[in-house]
Amino acid sequence: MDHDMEKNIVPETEEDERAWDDRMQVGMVDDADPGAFEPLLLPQVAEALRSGEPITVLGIAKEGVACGALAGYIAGDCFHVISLYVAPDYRRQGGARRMIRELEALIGDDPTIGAVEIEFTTAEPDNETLLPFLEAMGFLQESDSGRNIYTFALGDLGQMKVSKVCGHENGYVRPFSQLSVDLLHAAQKRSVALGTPQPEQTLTGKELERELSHALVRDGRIEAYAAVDHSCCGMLTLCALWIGDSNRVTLNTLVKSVIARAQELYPPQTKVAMQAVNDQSRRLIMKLAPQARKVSYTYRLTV
Amino acid sequence: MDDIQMTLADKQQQIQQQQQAQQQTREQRHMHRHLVGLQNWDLVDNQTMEQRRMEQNNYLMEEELQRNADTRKFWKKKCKLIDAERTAEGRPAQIQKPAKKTFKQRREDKRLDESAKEVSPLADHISVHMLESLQKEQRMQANSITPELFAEAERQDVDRRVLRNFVYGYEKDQNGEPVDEYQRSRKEVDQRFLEDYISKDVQRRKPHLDRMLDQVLNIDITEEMLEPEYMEYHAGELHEQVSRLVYFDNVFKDPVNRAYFDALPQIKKDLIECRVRDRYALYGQLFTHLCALRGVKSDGAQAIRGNEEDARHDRESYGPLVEAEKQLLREGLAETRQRERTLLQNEFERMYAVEKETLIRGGEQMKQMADEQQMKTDKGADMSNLEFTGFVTGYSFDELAKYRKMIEDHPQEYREDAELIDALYQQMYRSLDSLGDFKLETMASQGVIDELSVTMLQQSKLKSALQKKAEIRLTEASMKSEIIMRQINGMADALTALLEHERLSGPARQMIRQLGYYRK
Repeated sequence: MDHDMEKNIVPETEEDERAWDDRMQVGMVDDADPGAFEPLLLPQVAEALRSGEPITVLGIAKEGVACGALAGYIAGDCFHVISLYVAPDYRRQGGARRMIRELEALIGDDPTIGAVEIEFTTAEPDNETLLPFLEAMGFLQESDSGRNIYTFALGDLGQMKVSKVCGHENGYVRPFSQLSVDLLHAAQKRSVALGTPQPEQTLTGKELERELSHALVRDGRIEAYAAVDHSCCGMLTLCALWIGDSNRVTLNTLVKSVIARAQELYPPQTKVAMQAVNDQSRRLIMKLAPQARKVSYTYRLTV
Repeated sequence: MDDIQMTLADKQQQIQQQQQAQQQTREQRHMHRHLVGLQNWDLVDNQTMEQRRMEQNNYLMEEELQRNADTRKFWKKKCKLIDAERTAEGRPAQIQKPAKKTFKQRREDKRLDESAKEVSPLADHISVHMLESLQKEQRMQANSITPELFAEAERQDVDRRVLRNFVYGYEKDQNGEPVDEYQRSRKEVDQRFLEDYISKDVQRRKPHLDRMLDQVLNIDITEEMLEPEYMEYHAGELHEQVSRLVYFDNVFKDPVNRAYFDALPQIKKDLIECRVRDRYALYGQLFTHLCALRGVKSDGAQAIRGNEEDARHDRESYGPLVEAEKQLLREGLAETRQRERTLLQNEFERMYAVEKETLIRGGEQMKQMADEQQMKTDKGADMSNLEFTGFVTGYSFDELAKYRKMIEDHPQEYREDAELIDALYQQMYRSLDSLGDFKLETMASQGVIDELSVTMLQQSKLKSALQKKAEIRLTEASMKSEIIMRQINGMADALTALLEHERLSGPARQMIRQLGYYRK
């Protein structure tokens, strides 16, 4: 370490002996004109800021260069971090740590906010370093009540066997490519009315994998569906699952149909992402793919 | 004696139990009436129900937005503002850079520049590629229009420029046969088109007119596409599109086709005016002159031979002309695009209003049925007399009925916290009622998307534009619904915690605080 570097290094706190570079400044970014910090925000966050949403942005800069940004909003009693990024050349210099500590200091005086929460997936390789970082900062992993995203490779599963004429009670399981758009829209309309979480696009959207997405059709009506796209970091992603009034057997059959078809169309190393929405679907995923790796995390810091 | 005493004791216990049950039923009926009494809205003078519900939605959304805005303002005073002159390398999401020509491609271009200059000083490698593209397009068209068909068209007095410009064309080999199955299919489609169009029978022409109309309505030539970089390899396609725009006017004016155009929906008639008839003149001359400036004759796909003197003359006459025509194009496009946006918006709103009307009727029927038939949820909660004023979905019925029953089933717990529980219940009623307005928007938008898929089987710019509008409204309404739902979930959590002694969640605590109460 040269002499100049030594002069600039400042210990953080007594508890934390790692140091930061005090040429790195932290502060709030002007929401009306984020300037050089805007490109360091996730595009959708930058867009939301431009459209006037009251998002709080903190930034770090070193010698006039914007090198990191953190953005978030308050909901309930928690501050949700929705964007956290430090430019590669400025990592391991304490920048992210300083932004989190600054946020803690701001929140500390507000009795209505009790925690900082951050959700992310490690499907993005850049995010893998977040796990040890957040734990070192005192964040604890939250149970997502079975709502995690899991990934596995198609080859990790055995050859999935599903009957081609997949009869199921009075209904049949069919890929979306064999169903009319009217039928699909009617199903989505019903699921919207019931308040089911919707994928980002409609069931007839062109980004959907129509050969892999399957639905259970009974008496000329779709009673359940499993839709697949590439929304999670380009992987095959089970982006929507609705079983209406159907039961667990339907859920199993639909998911197995999706996997079986994917095994026919894609090589074994193809990654698949599935989000569990409750304990039932989490158990299904673990039963289907015991080697499935959890890639979504929620970390929470109580302030 | 003992037996008689036991029987008497039993009987007394029975009577006591009956009295307790009757008391409980009376209390529940009283509670039910009390809760129904809370299902109301406090309208101010001249305020309509729709305005009051919107006020409730705005309050719930703004509560969260305002809190964030106030907190951010406060923090900006506490924490220093940071600025920077530039941004470090690296981005959370990488941007794809456009591909550039390789060294080999650039060397080839230089060679072509030299040979092109032998024909005309105006020509270069761009001219050579433009000419190749134009020649290919016109060669393919000529393959489809045989001399026999051409002669027949002349006999029938059918506009041959329409025929030439609306065939697909196909590529053929040295034996005169289509080079592959795809080219063969193009040939066959063209054959049918030519025979049907030359017949002058509007019924036979109809499927082809549908196709031709879709094609011209989908044409979108931007100013960037008229730059040399794009024209270099796309001159043929551009010529085809410009020609179709120009000669569609002939199709439109053909008396044989009058009945077809009269029967079109109004939106298509309006778009023909806006996208085709008001634009073709802007493109026709400009394209010809842009080609001429490169030493290329677009009609006929020929090089324009000339010497330095000719080149100087062409540059001096076409140069300023092209600039003026580009300016006219810019202004013309701006004006027609504005008109088109209005047309599309009006068409979307019309379709949206139709969907909304249907949904509202359905919602009213559901409310009426719930009251008249005293319907119950799966868990036995009474869905009648919920007094919703706006559009409601099954979810709203279920939720309010559920929590009303929960309160009625826990009279002791209710008594311990009556004021807070009343406040929570009334807030839940109002929130579920006003949530219906966003649900209506979501479902009506979804309805427009459904309708488009049924009435417009082919994907087209019109369908895409209307779908996009519906998707934007669907997304906005869904996002707003989510904010309201979060608040409703907080109210539900709070009621469950107070009545069933569950742990008070963060959102529940926040909701209680919002209503002016405090619980640990």
